[in-house]
Amino acid sequence: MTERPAGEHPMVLYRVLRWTMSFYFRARMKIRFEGEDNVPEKGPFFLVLSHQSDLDSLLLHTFCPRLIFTLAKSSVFRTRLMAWLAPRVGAVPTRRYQIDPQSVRVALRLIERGEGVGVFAEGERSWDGKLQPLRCGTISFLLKAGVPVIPCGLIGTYEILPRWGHMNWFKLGFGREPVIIRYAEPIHFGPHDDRTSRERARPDATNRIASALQAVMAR
Amino acid sequence: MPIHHMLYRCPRCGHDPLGGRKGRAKCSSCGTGFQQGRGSLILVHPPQGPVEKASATSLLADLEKMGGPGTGRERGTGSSEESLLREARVAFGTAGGYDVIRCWGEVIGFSERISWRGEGLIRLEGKSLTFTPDGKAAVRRDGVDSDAGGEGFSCLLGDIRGVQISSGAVQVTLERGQLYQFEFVDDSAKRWEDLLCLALRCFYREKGRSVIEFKPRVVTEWLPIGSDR
Repeated sequence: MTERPAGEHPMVLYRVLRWTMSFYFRARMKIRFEGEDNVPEKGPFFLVLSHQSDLDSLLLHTFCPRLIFTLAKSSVFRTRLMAWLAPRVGAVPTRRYQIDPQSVRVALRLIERGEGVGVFAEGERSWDGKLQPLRCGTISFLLKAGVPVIPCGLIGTYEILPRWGHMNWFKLGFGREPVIIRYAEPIHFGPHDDRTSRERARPDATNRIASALQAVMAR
Repeated sequence: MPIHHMLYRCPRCGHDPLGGRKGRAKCSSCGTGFQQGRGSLILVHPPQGPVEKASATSLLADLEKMGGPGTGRERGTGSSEESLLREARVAFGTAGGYDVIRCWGEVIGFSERISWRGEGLIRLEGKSLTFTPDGKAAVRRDGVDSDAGGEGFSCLLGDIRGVQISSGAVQVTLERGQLYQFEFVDDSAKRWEDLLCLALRCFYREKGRSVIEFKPRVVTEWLPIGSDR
């Protein structure tokens, strides 16, 4: 990934899978997009999401107006196939049981390169579809990067595949479930280079992001 | 994750535990069945009468009213702080190194390698957590202490650095950064995560601190002066 300048890495497999999966998801779901203009055509940004379902990252990677990289739990990469495939479709491993400086470094490098990075600020899927508390470390990390933060809601994924349930992946056609992918206006927190400044700004930033996520998840 | 991991006790009669498999669960006491309906709706089959539809939110709220994951003792109604809260059989693994994840020659991260080591008994008491692998006894001293085999441990709750649920198992990080992963043989991983979090909250509240978050590490802050400890 590093050898190539921003915007020039081919990500061919990612693009092909995006195209293929879009057919599947459109046949499986009735998908509506709102606020896509809020995603900048170029330049770095963070997309912050509330995690409701396993479908969230698949839908985001397939339908985000720009190629997006997301932080994914490291256990996803345990098999050889996934360790090879997942990074090629924009997944960055993060160890969830400890603070993982490597995933932070990689995400900041992607931001420096002008890419968009998706973050599930709650750190795990919700059991009941409600927004959970946002992780302190994630908010500090967003403040450190100092780029626009775009709250994004995927409405309807919890109804299709909740954390405690299962889904019939082969069901297509009639009776498609509605899903809304909604992007809110970017939030600009400004630069917070030092730790003290980030600590001071964190409670307010947490509240602003949480309220924006609540608003974007509203039906 | 199976539905009975989320509904670890019967939301109708409170019977504990609620047995089940995959998309179905059934209470052995009142006979009420729970089944995943269309989407996120749960179909509740009472022993008599028509099928009801309920949301996960309402059923989880019912569980919370019944005491959540705890037994009541941790809320100050028990006779002793050291009273047993819960124990369960588990298959356990420990993190033994990392796999490096690369993409086009660049290291983009690491994935922990979990080595599954066998079964044992995990036991949560008022202020401590003990894990004893089969055939080995954990040594209890102050702080984290391993047994001769290096696999069991007994620690004060204050020595737990992080608790989280991951892929149907509960991960516990101890003081020296050791990661244990527990898969429950006949209990719910979510209940154990909730229970450990509740026990940690009580533990720190007694010390005048409140827990801000449990993962990736336990973070606490002082309670305001004059607040109820």
